[in-house]
Amino acid sequence: MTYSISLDEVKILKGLLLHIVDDVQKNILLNDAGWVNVDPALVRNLCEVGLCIVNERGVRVSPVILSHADLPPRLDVDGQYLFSIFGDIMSGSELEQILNKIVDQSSPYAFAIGLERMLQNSEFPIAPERAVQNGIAPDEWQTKVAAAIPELAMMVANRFWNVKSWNVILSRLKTMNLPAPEIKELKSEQFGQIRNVLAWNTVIENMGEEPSKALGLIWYADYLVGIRGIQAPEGIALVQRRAWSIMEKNLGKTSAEIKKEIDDMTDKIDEATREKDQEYSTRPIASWVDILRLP
Amino acid sequence: MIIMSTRVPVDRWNRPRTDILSERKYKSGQPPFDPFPAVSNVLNAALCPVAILHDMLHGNDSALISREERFGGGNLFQNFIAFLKPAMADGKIPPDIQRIRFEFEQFARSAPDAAREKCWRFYLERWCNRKLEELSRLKPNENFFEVSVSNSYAQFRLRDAGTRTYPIRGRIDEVDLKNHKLIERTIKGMPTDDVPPRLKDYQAWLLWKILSSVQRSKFPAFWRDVDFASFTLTVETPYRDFEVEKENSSFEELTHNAYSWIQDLAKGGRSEWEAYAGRSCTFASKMTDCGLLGTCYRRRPIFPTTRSEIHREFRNIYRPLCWQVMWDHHLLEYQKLELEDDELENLGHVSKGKIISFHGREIELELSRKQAQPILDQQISGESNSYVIVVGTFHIGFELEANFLRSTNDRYVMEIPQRRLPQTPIALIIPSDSSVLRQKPWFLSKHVQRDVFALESWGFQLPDRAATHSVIQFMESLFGVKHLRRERSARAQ
Repeated sequence: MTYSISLDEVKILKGLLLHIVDDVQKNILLNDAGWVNVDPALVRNLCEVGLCIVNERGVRVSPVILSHADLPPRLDVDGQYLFSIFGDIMSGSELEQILNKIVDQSSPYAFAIGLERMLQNSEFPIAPERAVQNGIAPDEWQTKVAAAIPELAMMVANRFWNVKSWNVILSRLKTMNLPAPEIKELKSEQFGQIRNVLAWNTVIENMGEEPSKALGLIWYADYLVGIRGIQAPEGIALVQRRAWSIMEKNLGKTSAEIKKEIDDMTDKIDEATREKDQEYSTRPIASWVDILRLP
Repeated sequence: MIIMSTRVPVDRWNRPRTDILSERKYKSGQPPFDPFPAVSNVLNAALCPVAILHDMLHGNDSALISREERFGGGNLFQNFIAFLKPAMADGKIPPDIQRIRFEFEQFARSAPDAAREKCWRFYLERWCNRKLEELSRLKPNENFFEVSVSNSYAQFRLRDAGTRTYPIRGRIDEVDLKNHKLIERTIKGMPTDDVPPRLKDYQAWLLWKILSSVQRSKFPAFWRDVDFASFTLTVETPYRDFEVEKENSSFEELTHNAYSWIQDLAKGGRSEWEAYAGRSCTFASKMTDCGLLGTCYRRRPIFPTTRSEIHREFRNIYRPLCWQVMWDHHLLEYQKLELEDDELENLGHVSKGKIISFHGREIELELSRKQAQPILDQQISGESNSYVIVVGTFHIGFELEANFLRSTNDRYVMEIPQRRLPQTPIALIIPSDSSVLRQKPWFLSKHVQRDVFALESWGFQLPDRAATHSVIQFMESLFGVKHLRRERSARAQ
């Protein structure tokens, strides 16, 4: 970009940024956000170099300004705040397209990635005796269970979507041009013990496909936000809102109903995996709300 | 203007089960009960979902508290009035503005000169000029200050039909028994204002709701015959008084919305982004008096570049810390109201003693050996000397922060803030016993939340600065892909 922006044009761009950020913060859809009526003569040069967009709705700032290195240092503190928020809003909008693609191609692979991310984000709080009874020292639990997460997630994906290998999932996502983390197809030595500690077979039996899908997609959306480095709540909200609306349409349920199903599922697993306590009746073997949860 | 998004009222508020209340269940993970919010939490939630998010998860409750109120004249204003009114009622201070100024200078001598001067000139002088006649008519034992109120089943009407009950606790600035008035006092506002400062009317209303919803059997003996439901509500600024309407459906709506946010945020796994999507202002039309402006609309430093990853890791810390506060603090609030006295005593949370005397800032209590045991244990273990002495009941009373001074046989002397407590003639019942509660350091979890969030938000804008800052480099390495190497000093080379 060689076009040098004048001081007046910097002020105009800041005003346009303010409009679009304000509209998005008011929850106006991105397509409808940020249009203002400005004298076309004032923005002619900016439009010619692609920094503004003009149509019958008015003028609006273009995402092209994000690659204009000359601009941020010339903005004041408020302008820099608006510039960074606008960047995150546009990144969030790109991720919305990715999420649409997942549904269009009805891909279960992203759900599997999401579930793996969910388990990666858990500390797996269990009653320490469970680990000891299965030959794992309590201080080794975190390390051992972390190594087994891909296999634990794969068992869930296999049950609902009949996929058997991370390599297959990752290569399919690559073909579909969808982002995916690096997940190694390693067999954990103590997987059997870990599965016993968590009573994972019982857990999977009591998981429902729809809550699992929802957890998978919402965590995949969360993963996308992370890899794009989106920090602004406005950008995160765009992605999460899209993920939820996709899920609502896909399952034919409201987000409140989906959330309730997730709660009911963890309650059911909690009941199914209770074990006898020495002093009192029973207790759950793990805190499932800390494991099977939304981000 | 509040533009808060409307939410569906909660189905029910989950209180702790009996086994939780009696501590027969191990405290861990997500508490199987909903929070026991303070009025300040409800106000934050009513103001903006992001305000309650920062309050509950990031340990920052300053949305409605200006710096001036927290560190400046706010406390001084209220504390001096709480000292002045009883003193004038006793005839110790005449209704003369110069004499009041003299007393204020004595009272506030430890405050910084600028704060003292400002408090007098901008707030107290105006308030005193306005109230001088009223002050001259005061009689002893009619006005009480800093009254703690709490109810785990305060009732609020739903818009269509029915009600919801929520737990709530708070502290009333002043209860005027003679005029049947509840006063919420603030230094906020301007002389030209026609309406009370933001949400102050709602705060007075909430406190009245608690007070008027407490069952009479839970009243302290010294106020057993007071009809709090008939009290009028007043918001008092230095410049004028505002009457608050008690029948107000918008306050009921605000309350249901607020509790919906509080429940969702405490449960976890939901609503964090919804809170941001539903916030009450935008950058272009921000609430300029909000204490969180710098947190909500501040430019994030470029470095560390891994901030997004840092947030993803750190957010796993915030909610468990919130749960810890619920286990340590909110559960005790439920226990205080739901358990019988002997159950609380058996759990070691409360000791009952007879008040022997008040002398200035000292209170002398008589405690049996059994009742004194928790205090003795704390002395032996060398833990903090802090206690809360409750005069009255846990529903309506006075909570005084106390420090242990000395003991002789079964007599324990503690230091308390100088405060006028209810007194009655000999024929009436004076609270003959008090409850001594040990304070758990639950607030430390809030400090940790605040520190972690501060670290998450911190950084540098300039690359040169970031490149040489060891913490930034460490964070880039820990949360990103940078390889961290120890550099050898020039001398070693």
